[in-house]
Amino acid sequence: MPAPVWTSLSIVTLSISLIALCASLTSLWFGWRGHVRAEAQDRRRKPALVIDLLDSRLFHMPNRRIYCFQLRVRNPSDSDNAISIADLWFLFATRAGASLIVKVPHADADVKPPDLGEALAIPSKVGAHNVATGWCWFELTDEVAGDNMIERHDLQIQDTHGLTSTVSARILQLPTESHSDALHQA
Amino acid sequence: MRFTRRNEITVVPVWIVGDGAIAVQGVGEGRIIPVVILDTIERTDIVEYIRIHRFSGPGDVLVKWGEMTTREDTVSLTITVQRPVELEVTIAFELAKAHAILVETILKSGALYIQAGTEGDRIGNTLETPRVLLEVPDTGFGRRWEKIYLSYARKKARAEGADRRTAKAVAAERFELLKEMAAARPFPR
Repeated sequence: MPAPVWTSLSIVTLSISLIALCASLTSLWFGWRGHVRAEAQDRRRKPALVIDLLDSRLFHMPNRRIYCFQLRVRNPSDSDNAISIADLWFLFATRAGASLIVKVPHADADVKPPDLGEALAIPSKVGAHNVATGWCWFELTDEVAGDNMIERHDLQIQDTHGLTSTVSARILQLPTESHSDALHQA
Repeated sequence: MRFTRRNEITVVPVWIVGDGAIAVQGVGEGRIIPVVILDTIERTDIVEYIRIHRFSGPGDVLVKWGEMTTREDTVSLTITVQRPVELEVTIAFELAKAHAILVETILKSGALYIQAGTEGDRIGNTLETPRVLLEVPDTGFGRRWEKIYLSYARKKARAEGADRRTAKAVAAERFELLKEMAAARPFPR
């Protein structure tokens, strides 16, 4: 069989094909990188709020208890967001052995224990890459609690998109004597 | 052509042990609102919910009507309470026990009172018992309800000896009467 004849035309054609292949592979690689960047940007734009629990207190009052939580609410996304609702969820165990989740909404300013610190306004805006901190408090009356046992409580924040973030508070500090005196005086 | 999707779920219904109606000026525009006494012997969470609701503010509920596939001529109303507690209750309305008027009145008034109780309880002797007023918005169940009731009423008329044509007429008449009773408004606007 005679050896293949490499004419100058076939060499040129082969070279052009190889250059075209390299160009398309390079273009494919840059396109993929662009897609990865676009996806990362989309992820950053998705609304999100992250709660960090900084401190917590429990105040015992006649016929009620006030649960106080100092929160840091972070918005890690590129989109503005807002805290819309804050609820304290209690898991009650009834005497009959049933479990029930009771949601206590954020209480009014007139219930706020004195000397607590700056309040976290609810609702409030948390801009993109911004942080909001402050105290929020929840009033559980003896009427609502009844003779049920509280098994656990979780704090849930809901943003304007309906997305929720939850934090559990296990150990609540009892207030110092000066706090208690101020409450009794109030 | 209209297609409806069927979602079958398995639930343990709560049965009605007593019923009645309340009309209060300023509530539901003076319409009659049905009251159902639920058998809560095994549902102490419903009892707790009704108790807690007296001391908390207004709550949030979602409602869904359905038909029970394992029990003939029974319509269900699933109430998912979201606030102040998390709870799900499926109430069974048995047409054979004259609960049709309850369903029609709920659809008309857009509301329902639920009360905890046991077999033998009556509205008349439990007036002071706490109850919760729930809003039941229009979910489009009305059309399906009409078909369910007419089918049941026709079956009943045939069982009483009527021929097919008479049974159809009787069923339509009974449904009109049902709608009339449910639309009663003791307190005019």
